[in-house]
Amino acid sequence: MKLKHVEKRFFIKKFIRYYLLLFIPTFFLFIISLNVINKQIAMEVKNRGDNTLSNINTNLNYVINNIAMQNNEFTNNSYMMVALKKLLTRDYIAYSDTIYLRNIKATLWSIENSYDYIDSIYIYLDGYDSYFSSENSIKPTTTFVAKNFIDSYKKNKDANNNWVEVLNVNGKRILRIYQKLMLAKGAIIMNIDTNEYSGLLNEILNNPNEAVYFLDKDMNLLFSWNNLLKNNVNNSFAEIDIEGYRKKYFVNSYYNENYNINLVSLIPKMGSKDTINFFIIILVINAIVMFFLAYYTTRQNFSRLNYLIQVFRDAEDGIYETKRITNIRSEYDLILNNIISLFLQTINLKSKILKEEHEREVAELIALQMQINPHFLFNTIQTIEFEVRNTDRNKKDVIKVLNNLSHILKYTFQNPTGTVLLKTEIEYLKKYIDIMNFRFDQNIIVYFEIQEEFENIKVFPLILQPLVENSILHGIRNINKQGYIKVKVKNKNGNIIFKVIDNGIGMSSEFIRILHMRIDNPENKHIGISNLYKRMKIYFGENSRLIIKSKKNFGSIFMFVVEDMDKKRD
Amino acid sequence: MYNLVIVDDENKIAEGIANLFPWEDLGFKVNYFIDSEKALKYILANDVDVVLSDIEMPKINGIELCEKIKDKDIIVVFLSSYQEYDYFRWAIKYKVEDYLIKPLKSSDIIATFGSIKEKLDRKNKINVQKPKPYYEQIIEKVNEYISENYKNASLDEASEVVNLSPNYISRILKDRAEYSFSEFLMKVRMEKAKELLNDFKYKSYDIAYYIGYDNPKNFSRAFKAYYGITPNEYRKLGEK
Repeated sequence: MKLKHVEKRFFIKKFIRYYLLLFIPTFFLFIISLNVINKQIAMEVKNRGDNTLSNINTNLNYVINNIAMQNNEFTNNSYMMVALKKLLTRDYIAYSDTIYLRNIKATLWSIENSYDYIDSIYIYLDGYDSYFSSENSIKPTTTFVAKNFIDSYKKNKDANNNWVEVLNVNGKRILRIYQKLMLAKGAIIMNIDTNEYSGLLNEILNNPNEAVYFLDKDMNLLFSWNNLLKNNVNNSFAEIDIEGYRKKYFVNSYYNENYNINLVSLIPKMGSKDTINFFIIILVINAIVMFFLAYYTTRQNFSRLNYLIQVFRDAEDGIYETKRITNIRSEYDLILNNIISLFLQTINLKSKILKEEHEREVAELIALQMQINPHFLFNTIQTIEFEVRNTDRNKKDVIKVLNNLSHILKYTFQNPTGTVLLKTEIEYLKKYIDIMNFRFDQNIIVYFEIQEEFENIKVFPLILQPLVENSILHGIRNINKQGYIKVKVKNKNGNIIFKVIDNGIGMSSEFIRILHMRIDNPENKHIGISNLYKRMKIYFGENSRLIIKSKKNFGSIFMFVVEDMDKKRD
Repeated sequence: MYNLVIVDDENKIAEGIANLFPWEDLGFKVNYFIDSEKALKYILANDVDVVLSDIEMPKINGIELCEKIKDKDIIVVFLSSYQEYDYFRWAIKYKVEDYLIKPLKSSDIIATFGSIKEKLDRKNKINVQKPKPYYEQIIEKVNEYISENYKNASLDEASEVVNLSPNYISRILKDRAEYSFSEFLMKVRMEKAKELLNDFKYKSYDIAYYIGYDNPKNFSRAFKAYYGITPNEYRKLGEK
């Protein structure tokens, strides 16, 4: 449980690291690009505003140029002025004057017709009670309309050459531009229908996010196009505080000196706010994606780590799982896999070597225990033998047993990894049987059926003795009839068969099953046959088989079937 | 008689070897020593023909003893309880006559010292011609031994019975008797087999065992070679 807790902490730590590693650079990148984009947008917007204003100004200049052109007509052609004066005083108009007048009329008319937004053009001269209107020629100055513009003219004429004002006429909102005549006392007045003008601006600008304001020199609103300040500014001559709008809008302004008009363009910063929002959304999505990425990576790493920990822990416990990371996703997995298997192999080998070393040490100790013995042992046997001879010269069987015993001992003391001829093994086996017969006071008859070609094959020492011992001790010793053992060595289908048959007590099939289990158990060191089976496998190969057949009260067969390395015999 | 010196640091063994083997029959006069130094002194001071010495001994061991007496014309036989490669090497280096392993068997002693005796006799140009009854007695003794021990009879054992080396016995039998050792053994066995085959209570393979064949097939083969028919055929003849 404690470990789980630690793992969790590690997990979170690692996860946060991965996450920050992913997130921080991305975040900075976002901030920087946002800044850059914002600046670009601001620049763009400013340019757009500039552009708008420049367009409007150009347009306005066109309009005004029309008046200027008219003004020039009068300036350059004094006859025209005289004719106009005559017309206004309703004096006699000479034919030539009529032509001039017509000329004026035509010019004004053509201007009015060419520009939809020009509502009408007036020409007013000081001191006359009539004025010239493009609408219907001569008009008296007593009308409301006339009074209105004459008042404005009188008020402004000393201070300005040109000016502009806004007024409502017959439901139309009219932008009225005044221009003093150059050589006469009077003015040309142009009425611009703001609705029409807006229409024109719509064509030019066509940008719903932009507002354009025409202000007079005192920053009073004359006319607005696409007003975005509906709540604050209506169509009255409200004063507009440009500076106040800079927070919310990109503000561009242009001052037209000729008419003292301030052109102001407002583009809301909303646009860039959208961009920011967009960026933030992407950032958030990014953050979420990175969260999962970091989680996934951390989990991947942890599963690998857990796997490693498990593998090493298993290895410590002596379990060498051959299971590997199965889905190799990267070269690192591959390398890791190889390292792990190498590591496991090493550990495995090490532990095997340790085990073998230990076993070897034990074996050496046992061997040493025996090695201090031979001289002692054989000298003792010799002494006993002499003692027996000395006391009773006819105790030949005892002497024979002693001789056989020492021969067998010498035989068993030889190098266990060395080889002997099969007939040598059998020679010693006979001595062994003699001793057993002497010990148990029996006369077991042992037959040997050794196929001649096998008498000189090389085998390991004591290859048959354990089987015969088994037959004597567990089969024949306890029967009340003549005991027989047959030792057979023959070939069959390219195999060598070592077979020991006895007519002993036999075994039940259940007992054979248990015996097989005990023999197969590698830990079993106490069964001679188990040990023999191992040696058979080492000497003749893993294919060596032990076959046990038996019938209760009838006898048993123990048979090793091993591969004949000399196939020529077959 | 030749002079034999036995050296072994274990009294019972030295004494046993000296007393329990038929040295006189073999033609040796025995002196035995437990102390190898004393043995060396004796050997150097006296006319000794053969030395039978243990290898592992305190003071002077068998190999050192061998080295010290190498200038004298003495036959040396080693006696050890265990085969050891180093001892064999030394034995070969000093041209040791033989290497006997404990526990000693009479047959080993008789075989080894029988040949040594013959060797010494040849060297000393002694022609031991014994009277005729001596040989007849030996042949009779050997045949008697075979007749009684046909199951496990061996030349080695026979040599123990008559205290002569197996080679010598073989030569006597070959030169003076009707049958060689193995021929006589075969004769006895086959006659015994015939006798047993006549008795129906014995199984053929038991008969083989009783007369000294541990492989019934070999018995059958030998029987057929001797009589021209197999034991079974012989039995069938008897039934008729």
